[in-house]
Amino acid sequence: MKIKYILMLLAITTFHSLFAQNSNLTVGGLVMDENGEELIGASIFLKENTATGVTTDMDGRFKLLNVSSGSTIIVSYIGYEAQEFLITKTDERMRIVLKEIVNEKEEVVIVGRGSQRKVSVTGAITTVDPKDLQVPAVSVTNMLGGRVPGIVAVTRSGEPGNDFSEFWVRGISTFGANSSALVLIDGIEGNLNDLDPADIESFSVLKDASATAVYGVRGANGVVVVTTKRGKAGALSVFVKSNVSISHSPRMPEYVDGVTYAELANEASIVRGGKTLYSDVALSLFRSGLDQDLYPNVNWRDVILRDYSWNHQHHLSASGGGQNARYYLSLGIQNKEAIFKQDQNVNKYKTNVDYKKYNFRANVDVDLTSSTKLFLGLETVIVTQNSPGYGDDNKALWSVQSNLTPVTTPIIYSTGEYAGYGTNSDEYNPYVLMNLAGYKNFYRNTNNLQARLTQDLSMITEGWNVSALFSLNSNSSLWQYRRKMPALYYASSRNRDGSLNSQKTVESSELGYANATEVDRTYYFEVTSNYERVFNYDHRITGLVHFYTQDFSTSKYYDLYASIPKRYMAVSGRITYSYKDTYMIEGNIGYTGSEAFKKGERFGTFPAISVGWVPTQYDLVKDAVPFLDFFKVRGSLGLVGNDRLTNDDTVRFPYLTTMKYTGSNSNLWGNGYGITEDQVGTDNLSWEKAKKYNLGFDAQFLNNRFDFTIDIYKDIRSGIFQERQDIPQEIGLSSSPWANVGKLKSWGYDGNISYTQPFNNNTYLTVRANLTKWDNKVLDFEESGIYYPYMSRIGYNSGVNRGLVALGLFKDEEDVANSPKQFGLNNVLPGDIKYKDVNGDGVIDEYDIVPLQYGTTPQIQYGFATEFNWKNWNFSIFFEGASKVSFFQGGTGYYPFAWGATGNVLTSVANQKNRWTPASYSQDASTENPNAKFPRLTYGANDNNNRASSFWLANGRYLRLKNAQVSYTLKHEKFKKIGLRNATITLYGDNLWLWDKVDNFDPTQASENGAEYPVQRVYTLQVSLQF
Amino acid sequence: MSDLKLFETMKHQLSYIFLIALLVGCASNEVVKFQNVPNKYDPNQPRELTGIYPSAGGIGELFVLEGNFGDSLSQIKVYFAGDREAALISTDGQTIYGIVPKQPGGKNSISVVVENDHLTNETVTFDYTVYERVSTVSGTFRDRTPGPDADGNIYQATYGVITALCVVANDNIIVTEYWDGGHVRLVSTQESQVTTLVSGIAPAQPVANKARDVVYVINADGYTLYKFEQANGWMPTLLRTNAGLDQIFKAKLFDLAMDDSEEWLYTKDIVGNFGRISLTETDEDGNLKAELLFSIPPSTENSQYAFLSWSSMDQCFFATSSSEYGIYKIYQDASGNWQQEQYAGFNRVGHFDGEKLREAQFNQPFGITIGDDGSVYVIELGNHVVRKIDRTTGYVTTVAGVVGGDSNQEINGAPLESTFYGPHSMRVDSEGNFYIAGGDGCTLRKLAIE
Repeated sequence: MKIKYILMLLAITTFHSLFAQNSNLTVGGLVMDENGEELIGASIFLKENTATGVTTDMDGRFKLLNVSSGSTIIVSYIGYEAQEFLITKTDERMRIVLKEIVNEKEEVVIVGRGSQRKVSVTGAITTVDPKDLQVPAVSVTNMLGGRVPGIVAVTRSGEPGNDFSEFWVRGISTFGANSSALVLIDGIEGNLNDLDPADIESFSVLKDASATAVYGVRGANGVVVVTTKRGKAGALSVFVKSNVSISHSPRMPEYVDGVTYAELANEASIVRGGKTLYSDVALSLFRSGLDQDLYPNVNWRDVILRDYSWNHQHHLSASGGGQNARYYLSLGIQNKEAIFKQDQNVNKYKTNVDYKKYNFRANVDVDLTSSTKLFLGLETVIVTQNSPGYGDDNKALWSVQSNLTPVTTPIIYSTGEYAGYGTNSDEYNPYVLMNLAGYKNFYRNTNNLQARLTQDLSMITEGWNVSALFSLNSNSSLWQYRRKMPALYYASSRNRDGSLNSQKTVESSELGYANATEVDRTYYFEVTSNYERVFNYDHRITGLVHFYTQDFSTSKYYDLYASIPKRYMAVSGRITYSYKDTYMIEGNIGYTGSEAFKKGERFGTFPAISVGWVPTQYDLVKDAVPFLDFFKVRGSLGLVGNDRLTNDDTVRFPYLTTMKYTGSNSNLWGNGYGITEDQVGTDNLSWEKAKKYNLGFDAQFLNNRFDFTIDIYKDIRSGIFQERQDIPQEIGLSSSPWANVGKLKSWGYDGNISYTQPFNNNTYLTVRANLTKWDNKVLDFEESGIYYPYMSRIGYNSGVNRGLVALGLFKDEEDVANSPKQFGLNNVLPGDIKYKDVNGDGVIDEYDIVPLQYGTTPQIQYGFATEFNWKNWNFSIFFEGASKVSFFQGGTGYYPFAWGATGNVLTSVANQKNRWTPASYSQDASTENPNAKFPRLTYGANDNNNRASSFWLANGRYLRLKNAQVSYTLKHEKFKKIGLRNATITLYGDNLWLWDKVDNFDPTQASENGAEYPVQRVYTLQVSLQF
Repeated sequence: MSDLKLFETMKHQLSYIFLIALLVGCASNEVVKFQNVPNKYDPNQPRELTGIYPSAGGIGELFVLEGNFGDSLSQIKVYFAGDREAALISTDGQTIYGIVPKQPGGKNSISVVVENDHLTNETVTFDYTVYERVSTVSGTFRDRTPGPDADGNIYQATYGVITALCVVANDNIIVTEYWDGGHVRLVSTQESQVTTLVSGIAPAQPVANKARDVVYVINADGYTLYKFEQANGWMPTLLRTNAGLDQIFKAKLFDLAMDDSEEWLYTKDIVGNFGRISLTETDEDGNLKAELLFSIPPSTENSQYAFLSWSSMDQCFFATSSSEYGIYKIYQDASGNWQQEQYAGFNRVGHFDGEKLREAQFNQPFGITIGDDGSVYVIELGNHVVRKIDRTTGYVTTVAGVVGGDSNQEINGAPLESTFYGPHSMRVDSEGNFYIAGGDGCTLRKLAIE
């Protein structure tokens, strides 16, 4: 690379000196736009003498004679950015590409199956500036929460390869199988997590029916439409981006050490009349470390976790081209390593979790003729993931560190035997799981091939074109397991001679190999006909007809039915009309087929209509409200569908009643095979329907400094698939049939506002905020065994947390005696949780469980950001928050001593202020704290206290300083000589601070109670170079 | 500052920050497997014993001595009650950590010997309590799924009716299942593993030599004699076929026993023939020599199921007679003739604790073994209990189990509250504890008295 620059520099300087004095230079060449279209009539003149100039001919060519060396020519064309060129030599083969100036009105947004001018859009569509998606992050999905109005996103894990966000468009609008949005990348269903953010050209979220109706049975949960960058005519442009990050866990559950654990365990046992569990000798041994076999004091997090891990990410893209062809090529590498600690002295191979992703993309546009265009898109993604050998995922490492207490076992006994408490996945030795269980390796290769042929049919009628697209998506995955396990022992006591009395808990297994493979492919074919024309300046009509068919086949299933390729077929159309950009009306229709329904009922019609009105187009309004630059009212209503019955892909063709052979049976009539009903088919099964209403307002005011959008929506989802619950068993069905029985209403609003304050050249301040609020209510739900109205799901949010209503802690014996019989525990004591007898039957039982508050998915997500640009400096800061979310604390590592000898105890339990201790034990009346966070301790199960109730329900709302960045862009004359246009160096911090109500965990993963890879805090240094 | 210079400075500073972070990251990459325990012995102070905790307890419990002792555990010995040496585990110079040895009940002295120093302290004593308890070693109560011979982990292995057993080296147990397939199985308490050694041989109760590394098993019906050696991985070798043994024994054999010489295997069939097989001499046919010592048929019509055990203290065998509800003593008189006399019971069927011959009643006494103090311990199939015939007082007491047994559950814990279901036999281990063939309970039990 270096040599190349030196040569280039040499060449430039040589030519410079050679022609320095020449004043008879000739310049000429071709002027075109970014799509390679030649520009006719562009003017070329000398900056020093504007009178000297020419215009381009019918072929976009020009020639300018007698130009003196060192002068500058300006190339300009109406509607395009002018460009200047310093002339130092004769060059008659210049290729000049002018960039179109996109004005507000002509700006286009990507909509369903095409694009539309932003001004005439009537549906609820959020477009995201791809610039905002260039922060270093694992995946595009991780950038959506709080950044994109209308999207609710949660990251539940920080583990490399598993740290993608789950997201929903407008929250959860069905309790059926599939509540996630349809993601289309360049028109084809794709995976956002595979996408290199640097390749994104546009990013839109389609939310309402008018935007999604064309997707028919798959548009009900919203659609995310992404297009990737395409080549632009002009000189080769190379972009290099490289970053290195350091990541650590900002919050880890803090568990008590061995001595504190033992003291608390004693309290837990004694305060319920039990015996002392850890004698003074045991306590002293925890302190002194004199018997680390039986009285260890291990911090398991120190054993398996490092403080930091390193990640890096690189991107290289090149684009360019000319009149005949344009290309965009990109290469991306991402390498993430987990914070697990691998003992370097044990294995020659790596057992740590890592995630590596390699992206390759080539987008090539070729003009076959002046009216025929061919697009070829190739994308390859390679993902490899390494992890320790045990289990299918790495959850055991987290569950075991929350389950094993500091005193359960040592890492290794002094005899050299590795410790292992038991055979459950959360009882293995974390050190062994990390270092001695072999490793597993995952490899996936995804290939996307796309070929689109577009024919401009303007010769027939102006504004008409048709295109055909074929795409092949294929995935091949390979899982390789190289596993082993040393024998593990558990020593419960010492023999009389002092030797350990240990039992083998886990058999050793030699290194073995196993693998699994999976291959799938999707064929996709579409034909689109597009029409757009303006009549008499004021009447703009567009039309779209779209047909597609899709066929998905996978090696995953071995079942006769499940292995049948899954197919879709649809026709959709759209007509829009706008008058003077003031009144707009749009009709959309999707006619989609799904194999889930029986012949004759397979196709469904999904219509939508929307209207828009822009009052600011009237002069009257302009005069009356001068500060208002733009105002639009939009409204839409329509129908979309969902054909996914269940997340179990093996459930297919639910309308079929199937029979199967029973195994060989011997009965009264002898031996033989029998025939039995297998699946009970449902007649008249149909898609889940979503009736969507949307009302939106867009406004720009005060010289376009304020930009404001809000959408209010309602969505009635009916015919949600459920297995019938109220069919009596006497009917004798072998399986419960599926039916369209559920109904759910969801509603909410989302919007954003931004303000930009320019100061002077290159100095501005932008403030942005957005908010998404959703809620839903179940209207119909197939359920049985409902004795009280509050037991039903009907009438409540579909994900509402349910539990008992806690009235606090019992004050004294009298309080216990005067209260209803509590849950499951015969001898409830003061300090235990007191519940409300909701049904008033004198007993607390499952019939007193009521809907409490919110669910684990936030109902409000918001974000606000500010960006300040000053000369070459750019500062930005982004906050993200969620609200109306709650979760139950509990489970292993939370309920103290609920599982006796296993289950870690949080340090907050050790704080006397947080737990209720009888004065008889503490000799201090103040420890009978009625507001304690933890009730009277119990060693072992406590059916009364340790269950979901409002006592353990915690508020999961938070505000996060999600991102802060400082960047500096260097532009230097010297750079130009090596072809470098600019260099930007950026320092990012991700997940920097949290304001919330949860102590020990990140609120987004608090419901896991610490048994999950923590969401990471990441500092990144990035250098990007634009050549 | 020019842009480039600024860039350079920033680059430098950032690379320092990252370098430091890298060092921090690397430093934390070590896995600490053992905590470091510093030595606190102060050589400038005199050696002394200042305290013990706990100051009371029982065998096998942990104790910590405080004082100023020495650098290394190899220099130190600790004695309770004068001569009972405690197993020591570790020391940090100022504390010694060890295990309470078996000792007489009551307040006992403690002495620490460090090189030539004998450390004692009048105020440092240990109040020893004698504990007794019953536990299940292996098997699931009356549950033989997946089968009566499912090997594997000691807690998962299953059994049929465990008819007999003997204790071998390392206090591992060899159990036999006469009824359920004739298995001989090794229960390794050390490895937590159960292994079937041989099947289909309808074994009588095995007997081990004193070193507990050789075990003899005879086929109860066909009289084939096998030898199992630890050195051979406890695999059986054939010692002798019937070859004339049926001239001496006329019916089923239940047990084998050895005297101190370990030259003969003694046994008694269920119709009263008492004889022995030599382990050293052969007869004219080259078979191990065998001889009948006496033949005294039982006084009842029913067969006397006879288990027997050698008492080194009394230099005699004790043998149960299930159908006569009593225990015989079998000994060689001064003239070398073998005699059999009633030792306990023979007072009709029942359960009564009292003087052994005059009052005590038994119900199907089966397995028999001799405790550390020479007392005779007997398992009663009929009463489902363990009885002790005290060697000094001559009184019979019930030491474990509830009369009548419990067919529904197996209770462990305090011996007299624990339950058995059709127990068959018992043997004593190197520490004076009893292992009990749980019989119809399909479990192996342990009765610890210490």
